[in-house]
Amino acid sequence: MKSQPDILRRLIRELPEYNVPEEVWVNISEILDKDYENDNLKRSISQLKPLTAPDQWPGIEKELRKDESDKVLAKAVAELPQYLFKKDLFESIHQKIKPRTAFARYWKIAAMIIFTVMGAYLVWEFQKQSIEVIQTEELLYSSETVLELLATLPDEDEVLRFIESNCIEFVVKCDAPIFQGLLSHYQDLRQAEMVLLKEIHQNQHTPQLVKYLVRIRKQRNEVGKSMIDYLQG
Amino acid sequence: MTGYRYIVVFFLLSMFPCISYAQETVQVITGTYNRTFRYSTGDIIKINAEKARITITGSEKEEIIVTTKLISKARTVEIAKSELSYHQYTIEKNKDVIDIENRIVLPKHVKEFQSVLFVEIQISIPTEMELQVSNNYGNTKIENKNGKTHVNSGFGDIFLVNVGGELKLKSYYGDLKTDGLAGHSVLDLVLTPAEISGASGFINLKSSLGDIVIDNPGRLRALNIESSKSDVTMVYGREQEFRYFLQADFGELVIPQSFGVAPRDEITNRLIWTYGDPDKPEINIKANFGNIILNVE
Repeated sequence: MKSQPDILRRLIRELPEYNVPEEVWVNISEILDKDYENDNLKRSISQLKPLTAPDQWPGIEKELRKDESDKVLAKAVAELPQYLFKKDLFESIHQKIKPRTAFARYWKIAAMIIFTVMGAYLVWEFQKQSIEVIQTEELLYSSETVLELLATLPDEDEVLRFIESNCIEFVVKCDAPIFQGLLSHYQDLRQAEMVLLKEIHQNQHTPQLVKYLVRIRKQRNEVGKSMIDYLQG
Repeated sequence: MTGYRYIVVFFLLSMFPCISYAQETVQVITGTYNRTFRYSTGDIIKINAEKARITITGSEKEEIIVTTKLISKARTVEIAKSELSYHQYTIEKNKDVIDIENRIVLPKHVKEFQSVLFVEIQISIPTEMELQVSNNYGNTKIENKNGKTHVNSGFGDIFLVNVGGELKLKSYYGDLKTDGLAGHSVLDLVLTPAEISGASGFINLKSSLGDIVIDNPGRLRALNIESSKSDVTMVYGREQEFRYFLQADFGELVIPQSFGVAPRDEITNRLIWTYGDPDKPEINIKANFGNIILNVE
C-alpha cells in the first residue's frame, strides 16, 4: 500500500499544466519597474538599516569545530605531505647573492686531490713497510773454552828517562831534526798506547786491543832503539 | 859504548808487557734476530755499532737481509742470560733510511760486567746501495760492493773485498786489508797498518803510524799516498809501468837498481825520485819519517 506522500506526488504530477501567455510577464515587469521609480519606494529603501553580522561568530566557530566534518578536515590537513628544504637550496641562494672566489669554487676538488694523493702515498708506504718481515727471534745456549787474558803492563818509560838524562850530555844530537822527529814519533806512539790502555781497561776481554798494544809496543821499541842508536853513533 | 848496548837491551826487554793466558769454560747465550726489507732505489743503510763483528755482502737481490746475533759469554748460564739484556739493539726503517744500532750499556746499579758481550751482524744489501757503517771495538768486513760506501772504524780490523764505487774510509787503531779495491777510494788511516792488494782506479791515502803495503796493483789510474811515521812498500810485476814521484823525508827510498839511485839532499835530509812517461798512471808517495820501498818482481 502506497503512502500518502507518494499519492500526493503522483497527483501533483498529473495536474494539468497552465501555460502563461508571454504578455503577462511583460505586464508584470512593467508594473515592477513603475514601483521602483516611485519615490516612496526609494525613500523606504534608503531608510533600511544596514545588516550587520551578529555577535554569534565565536559560538558558530565553536559549533563548527564540534562538527565531525571539521575533524575530518583537520585530520586531512595533518596528513598533508610536508615539504623539507634541502641544504643545497640555501647554499645556492647564498652563492647567488655572494660572488664566489676561485678558492671557494675549487677547494673541494683540491681537497679531494690532496686526500687522494695522501691516501696513495700512505698505501704505498704501508706496502713498503708491510714487506718487512721479522722472521725469527731465538735464544741459543752453548758452552765453549776460551783463553782468559791476564796482562800486567809496566807503566814507566825507561827509554824517555834515559834520553832525558843523556840529552844533557848530547845536546847537539838531541837538537837535530832527525832526533826530534824520532822523539816525536816515540811520543806519538806512547800517547797512542796510553789511549789504548784506557780502552783496554774500559773494554776488557777484547783480545784485538791487546794485539794492537803488543804491536804498538814493538813499534815504540823500534823507535826507541833508533833514538839510542843515534845518540850512540 | 858497549855498556850502552846492555842498557838498551835491558830497557827494551822491560818494555814488553807480561801477557799470559789461562783456559776457562764459559756458557754462551746467543739471541738471533732476522729482518728483511724491500729495497727501493735511493735507500740508505746506516750502521752504528760497537763490539760488533759486521759482515756486509753485496747482492743482486732487491732486498736487505739483516741477521743479528747478540752474544753473552759468562761462567754461568744465569749470568750470561741476565747480562744479555745489556745489549741495546734497534733496527728500523725511517723513510728511505734503514738504521741499525747496537750499544752495550751497563745498568747504573751494576758495577762491572761479569760476562763478555759482543754482537755479530750479517747484512746482505743490493750492490749499489749506499752504506754508512761506524763500528768501534769490532771488525768490519765488506764484500762485493759498489756505490757509495763510508766506513768509520775505531779499534777494529777492516777487510774489503771487491769494493768499488766511491769509498771513504777512516780508521783509528786497527788493520786494513783490501783485495780488489776499485773506483775512487779515500783512505784516512791512523795507527792502522794496511795491505792493499789488486787495487785499481784512484786511491788517495793518508797514513800515520801505520805501515802501508801496496801489493800487485791492477789497473791503477792514480795512487797518492801521504804517510807520516810509516813505511810504504809497493810490490808489483815488471809488466806494469807507472810514472813515479817519490819523496822521503828522514827515511830511506829503496828502488830497483835498474831504475837508478835516488839523490839525497843532505841539508834537508830529503830524497826525491821521479821516473816514467807522463802518459802512465801516476804513483805519488810522500813519506815523513818513513821508508818508501819499490819491489818489482
